[in-house]
Amino acid sequence: MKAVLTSTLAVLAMLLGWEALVRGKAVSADLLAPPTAVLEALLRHPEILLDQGISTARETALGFLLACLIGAAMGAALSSAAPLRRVAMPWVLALQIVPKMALAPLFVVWLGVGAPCRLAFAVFIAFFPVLIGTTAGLAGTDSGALRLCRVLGAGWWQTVLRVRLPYAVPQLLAGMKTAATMALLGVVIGEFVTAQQGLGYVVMFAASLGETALVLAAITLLCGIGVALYGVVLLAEWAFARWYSAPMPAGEFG
Amino acid sequence: MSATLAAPPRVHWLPLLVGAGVLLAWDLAVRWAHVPQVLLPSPGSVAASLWHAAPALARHALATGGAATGAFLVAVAAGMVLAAVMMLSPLLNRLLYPNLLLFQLLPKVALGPLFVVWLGIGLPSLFAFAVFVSVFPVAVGTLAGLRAADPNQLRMCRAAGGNDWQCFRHVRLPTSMPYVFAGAKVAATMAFTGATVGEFISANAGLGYMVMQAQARSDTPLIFAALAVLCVLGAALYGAVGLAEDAARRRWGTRR
Repeated sequence: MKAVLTSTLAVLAMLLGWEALVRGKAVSADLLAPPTAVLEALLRHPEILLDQGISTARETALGFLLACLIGAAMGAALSSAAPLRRVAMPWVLALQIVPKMALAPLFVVWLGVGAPCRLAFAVFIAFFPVLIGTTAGLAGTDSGALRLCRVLGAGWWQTVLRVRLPYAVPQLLAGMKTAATMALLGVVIGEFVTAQQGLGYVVMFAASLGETALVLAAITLLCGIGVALYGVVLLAEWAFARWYSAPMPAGEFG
Repeated sequence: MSATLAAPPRVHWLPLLVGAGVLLAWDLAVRWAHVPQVLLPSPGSVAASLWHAAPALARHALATGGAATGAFLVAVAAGMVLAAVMMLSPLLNRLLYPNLLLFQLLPKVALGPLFVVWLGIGLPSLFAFAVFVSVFPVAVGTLAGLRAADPNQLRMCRAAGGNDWQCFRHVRLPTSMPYVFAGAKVAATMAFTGATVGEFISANAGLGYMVMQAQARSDTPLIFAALAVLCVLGAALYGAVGLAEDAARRRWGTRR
């Protein structure tokens, strides 16, 4: 509780200092709009920001979902087939160290400047952490627990559901947290390069007009979308922890 | 990542062979099915584009590579200093850490256009933006590393009469090394991302600029060629960090 209080105070102090700098003419309000001006811009252009915000939020959520599904499916496939893993994993890792965000213009060439382009790019950016989380989680299953399953005569499906999945899910969720941030980034960069709609487009457009208050207002909304998506994953994590850490009476197994 | 994935990459012939096979199949498929060059150029035409545009590619690669590498070095130095300061001063830590977390939540790349408003089109805004996006992983990583020091070792250092600086230098710093390098690896990729996205937004040189120009002319082979150069540069910086990590581990590695 005390930590939350000091954190809030520190952030408030930063915002106040920022406001004071601009009010005191140390920084021009044209270059860095003060927090109050950002708030005003949020209230002054609600219909633009809301429209574009909904577009960005929808694409981000959809991109995140697709990235999770594709990443988990590919991770499961790679985990279950060792030859496939040996062939594909070095390439997947190589893809990870190149600056993938730079590949956005290629998606414009392939898919045009519409929503499919941004969606595909967001999925491309975001699926990787989920894939890694899934493979790491499935590989991290306690081998003793697996042997116990075999001894007890558990079927393949039971083993997956009762043992492999519980071991894999925490890592999968960790990957999904990264994917949530990446999906939003992918959509925003997509909006930068397609320059058609969305909050990323508002940021570009307002910046070219020198409207820093509107830029920061759009970025505030972007933060909101990012935090909301992250919160959903945290909620899933919490639900999973509750579900699986249900008290298990000693001496009774499963 | 699990130990199996984090293991140092070894060159295996199988993935390389498969990669070559994919390139060959790609080339044949494009020729056979008459896929338009604009959609998917054959590897051959990308190579031809690489060859023809080599002087321009080299010039723009130097601009992007220089900006990204410089930004990476500044970000690593600034991130480590920031983390060290926060470690040594509890007051600054309490003031800065929540703000650091706040910035972690921010989609930082979206701030790119603001840097253009502040610093104009060109190298200064690009550089500042690339530093901005890559400094956070280093700061957060270093801070986590400095805090990961074994309390028993710290007590031992104290008992042996070490002062603040000595305990920092001989206990905290060596433990933090793997974390610092993990942060630096992320920063290496982010520096190139920042530089390229900055060039997408507005620039007059660099590979990102070249990609946008090629896209406007629908010169897809050139897009592929420029992106290939960019990927090689990004991978090279990442590899350099990996080599530095190996060297640091050999030189200062903690004995187990």
